[in-house]
Amino acid sequence: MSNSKVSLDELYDRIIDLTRKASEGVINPLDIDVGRYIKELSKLFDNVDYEKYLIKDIRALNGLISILELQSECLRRMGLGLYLDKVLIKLKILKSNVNELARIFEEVWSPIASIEALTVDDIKEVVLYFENLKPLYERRLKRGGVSTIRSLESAEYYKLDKDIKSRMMKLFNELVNYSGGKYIDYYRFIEMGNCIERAYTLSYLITEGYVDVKIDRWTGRVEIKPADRRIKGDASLALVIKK
Amino acid sequence: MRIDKKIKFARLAHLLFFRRHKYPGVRDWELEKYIGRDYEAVIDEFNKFLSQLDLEVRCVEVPDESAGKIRYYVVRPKYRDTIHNIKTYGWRIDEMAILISCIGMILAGNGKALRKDVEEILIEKFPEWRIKSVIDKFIRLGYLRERDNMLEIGLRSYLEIDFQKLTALLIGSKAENASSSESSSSQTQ
Repeated sequence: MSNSKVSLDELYDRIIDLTRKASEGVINPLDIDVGRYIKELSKLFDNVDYEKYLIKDIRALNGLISILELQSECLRRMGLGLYLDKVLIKLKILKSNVNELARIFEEVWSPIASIEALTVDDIKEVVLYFENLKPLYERRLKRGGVSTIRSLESAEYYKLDKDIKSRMMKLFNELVNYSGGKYIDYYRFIEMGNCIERAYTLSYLITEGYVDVKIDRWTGRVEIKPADRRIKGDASLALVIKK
Repeated sequence: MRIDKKIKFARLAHLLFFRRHKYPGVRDWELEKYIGRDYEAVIDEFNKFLSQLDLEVRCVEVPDESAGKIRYYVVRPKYRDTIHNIKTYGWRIDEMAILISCIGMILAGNGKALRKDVEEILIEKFPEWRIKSVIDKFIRLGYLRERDNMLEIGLRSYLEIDFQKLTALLIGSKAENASSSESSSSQTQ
């Protein structure tokens, strides 16, 4: 009797766990033999005090119904030719480059012709948003945005601006020695001393074309190197510094 | 009789072209309310008029948990080739790549995919902050839906994306057969 109790408990737990995994997409619902579980449950359930196990039994049966629903959905998708293997799709995503994936999107996408007009629902949402919007200082505190970034006082700016040329020269020499003419990480370099002052001076070097900046848009990595010859460019770029 | 038809055409155009609710397109009950029970006949007539502009009204059936299926009517380009010559989207290519990867993962996961799992795969191609912001953006736009940390296909994807062709393209087979059914005025997804 005790043996059957343990196995029944285990069986219930297993079914509930299987249901969770199937609904999360961890396992394929078609791999689960629902009929076998129902048979095993009915066999074991006859030999126990059913009042004790009633709730667990209901939960397990509910789980099996969910698995059946998932199986039906799976079969429906297979019938419509919408079945995709998980491993296959992972490989496809990893193997394809961004352009290829975007091209697939272009191929399968047909935009709807409609004008995005402001609706009554949108206005209600806006009103609700502004009613629940906290004062600016509270939002800043929550995000910790302003408090983490140190700003330079105007006196410090003046001091920096006064001897900017000598600072630029010093920093450029440091960059030449440190980088050895190769690209190095921007943030690593500016953090080697007073972060804000170095970033400020470096911005002059970049603007004047003495330092070359390279940004990898996919990884977000910013790299710098001393320019071989003076670079001319008119693009402006904002780099965020956090301390 | 002629005036009545004109009014119905105008009403149908306004319903279809101006977004009135959170969801895009028009539901069947709205058409019945504003156009009348013969709305399908009016749509057929309207389609003849729209075909000159390379547009057509399509009925898309979207699965729904409570109602089973909901029918939406939307105006879409009749032929894909003409629309692809003009860039009608305002998204970056990495955003499109992330969206199509998400939809692919969701289709492979039987209509659901853990957001964490999707992000883990995409992190090998895109910066983490970019993935999160793009997924949030497409949830906001209605292309994806998030419930209990699970990503699902949103209404706009059902209305705008040809899943059969997508499946064929993702598994690497020719998509001609899948797309041939497109020419019919109504489709079921």
